Amino acid sequence: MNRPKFEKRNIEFMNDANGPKKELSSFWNYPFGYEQNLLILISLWFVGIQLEYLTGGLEKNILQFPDNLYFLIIWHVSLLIINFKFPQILKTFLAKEFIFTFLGGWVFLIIISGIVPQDHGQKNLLNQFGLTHIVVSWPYLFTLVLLASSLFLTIIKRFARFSLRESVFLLNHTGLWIILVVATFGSGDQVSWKMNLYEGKATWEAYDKNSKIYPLPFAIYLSDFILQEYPPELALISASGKLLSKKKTSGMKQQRISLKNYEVFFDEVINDGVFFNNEWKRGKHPGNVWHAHIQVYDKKNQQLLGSGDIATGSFLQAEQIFLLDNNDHKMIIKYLSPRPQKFTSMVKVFTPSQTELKTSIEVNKPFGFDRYQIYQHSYDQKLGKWSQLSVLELVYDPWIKIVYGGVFFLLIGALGLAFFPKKWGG
Amino acid sequence: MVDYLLLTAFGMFLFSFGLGIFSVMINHKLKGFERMGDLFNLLGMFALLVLILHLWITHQRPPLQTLGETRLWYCLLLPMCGMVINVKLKLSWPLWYCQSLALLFLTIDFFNPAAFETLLPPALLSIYFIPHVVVYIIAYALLTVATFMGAKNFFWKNKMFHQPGLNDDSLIKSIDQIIAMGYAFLTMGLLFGALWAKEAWGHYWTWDPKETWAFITWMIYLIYFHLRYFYLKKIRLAQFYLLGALIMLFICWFGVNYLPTAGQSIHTY
Repeated sequence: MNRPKFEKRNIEFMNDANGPKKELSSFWNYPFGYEQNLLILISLWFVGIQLEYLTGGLEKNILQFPDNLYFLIIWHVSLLIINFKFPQILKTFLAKEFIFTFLGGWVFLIIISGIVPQDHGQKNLLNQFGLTHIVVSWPYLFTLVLLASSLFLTIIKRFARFSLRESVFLLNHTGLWIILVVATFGSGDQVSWKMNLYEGKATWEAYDKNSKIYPLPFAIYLSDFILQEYPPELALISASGKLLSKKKTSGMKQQRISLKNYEVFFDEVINDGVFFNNEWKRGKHPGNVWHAHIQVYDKKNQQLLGSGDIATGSFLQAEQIFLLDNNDHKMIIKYLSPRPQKFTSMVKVFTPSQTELKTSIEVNKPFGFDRYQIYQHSYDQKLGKWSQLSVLELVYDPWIKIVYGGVFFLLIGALGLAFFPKKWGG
Repeated sequence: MVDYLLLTAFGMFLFSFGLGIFSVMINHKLKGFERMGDLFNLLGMFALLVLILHLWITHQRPPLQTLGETRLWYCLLLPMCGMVINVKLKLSWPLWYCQSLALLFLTIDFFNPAAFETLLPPALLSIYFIPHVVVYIIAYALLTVATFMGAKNFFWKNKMFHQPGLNDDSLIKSIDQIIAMGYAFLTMGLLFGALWAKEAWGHYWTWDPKETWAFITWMIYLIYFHLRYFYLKKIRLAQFYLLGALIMLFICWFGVNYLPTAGQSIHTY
């Protein structure tokens, strides 16, 4: 459909013998084809890369309320003016050549961000040209703004001839437009602060990623930090340190576990062991570890190859490994460090007006207070389950409800697309 | 703790019904064989279901976490899609493709039993977990089937396994419908993932490499719809495009682990 137009334009371009001035004007005649759109896209990227080099990235120049709102209003009012006053520009924005060029360009940029590790901190050439932070770079912003403009103009055009059949189209496009525009230009207003809580202490302040401190209108008191862990995994490791096999354990005695050609039988398992006076004992002390006494058999002939102790390590005790020596096959059987299953902060929240609220915060179970959502973030990894420190994250995003609206539109739209398929090309 | 006996059993089941269907493909007119193929197919799916339930009970968690486990579900759902197409559209060859692919993925699982052994980190213990993964696997299965239908027509049109009574137009319509359904599930997966991320980490989108690739995949299929809308007559282009799209989907599913960005991902399994 498009090809004949293409060729015709090319022929005109090639045969034009009246000097370069006219060649240029005929090249930029409306409507633009793929060549013109591609040229615009690449020029924009070129300018974007230079801006990237000059300004050191977008992150420092990110818009915040109310500037972002003003920008959104000015941007979309200009689009409305284009819509009513400049039909030629409007046509360009709605043409398939524009849509495919800019959609393709956008996806291309995101693919780069999916391949080149994204880390703004690096100091190298990739970083200077914005390749290490694509989604906060000028070329990306230009591409997105033009694409979102096209999306907005498309929505207006379709709204003008609204019918029920169009609703799926409108839901999908409006949903995507809301998410793109609001999530991108609202990101400057997102607050994401951390808060360090210590057991038995109240904290009134939070800090951002640049360690700037902010006082809060409430305090959080950490009564207890509880970390539950999985029974440690059992691993078979070669003499050269290569992990040959690992298996989950139940944490109970009398369990049999097979590791490659060997079978391990657990005589004795305790989760709070301490090695004292050449003996493993139980005790509820910080730094106590998982300990097991194991017997190792050859899987084929059930011959006992040896028995001994294994234990996980902590800040108090060194880990204990089992050396297996089977006909010159030297190997190690050991417990891996136990992995956390669940960690919870038991807290009390206070405000100056004497209200007191008792609650628990854990991963996947945030707690909403004031304007913040409060998340369990981390703890002192070195101390593990004996950590006295619990790090919470306070998140506030004033635009979130609008983004959720877009998500809702997109969900309904996608279902509509699947279950009410309309004729393609209608 | 993978049950090798069960793995072997369903591997054999699949292989046998794969062969059964293949013989049906060679000779359309032997109706009895077709029934036999369906029977083998159901048996294979039943065996897989038993394995999944077995894993669920022994691991005391839904087997939806590791790559190996997602492959199991994929192998269960793919022949199911093939059967639905067989019944609805009277097309038997997509079933054959589905089974071959299921067989391939089961073989991968069979040689990587360690892919089943992982502990769930706290962030994965969420009510969003099951819907997020299930809708993704359904989407993958549907999109794969549609791609195969296109690819078969693209490469072996009127040469091999030709099915009379089906022209290009009605085939591409079926493909578009399946893609639309797959895309709906893809969208749900993406959005459930975003809602879950908000619940677990405080931000609905963090450009984690897996997220980035999920978004790329979603965009690639979004472009497909625009391709079909603006270039309705270019059927071969659409069929070829779907092949490229499937490659992107596979990068998102497991290829991400081999990219330079993999180290930054929280989706490591």
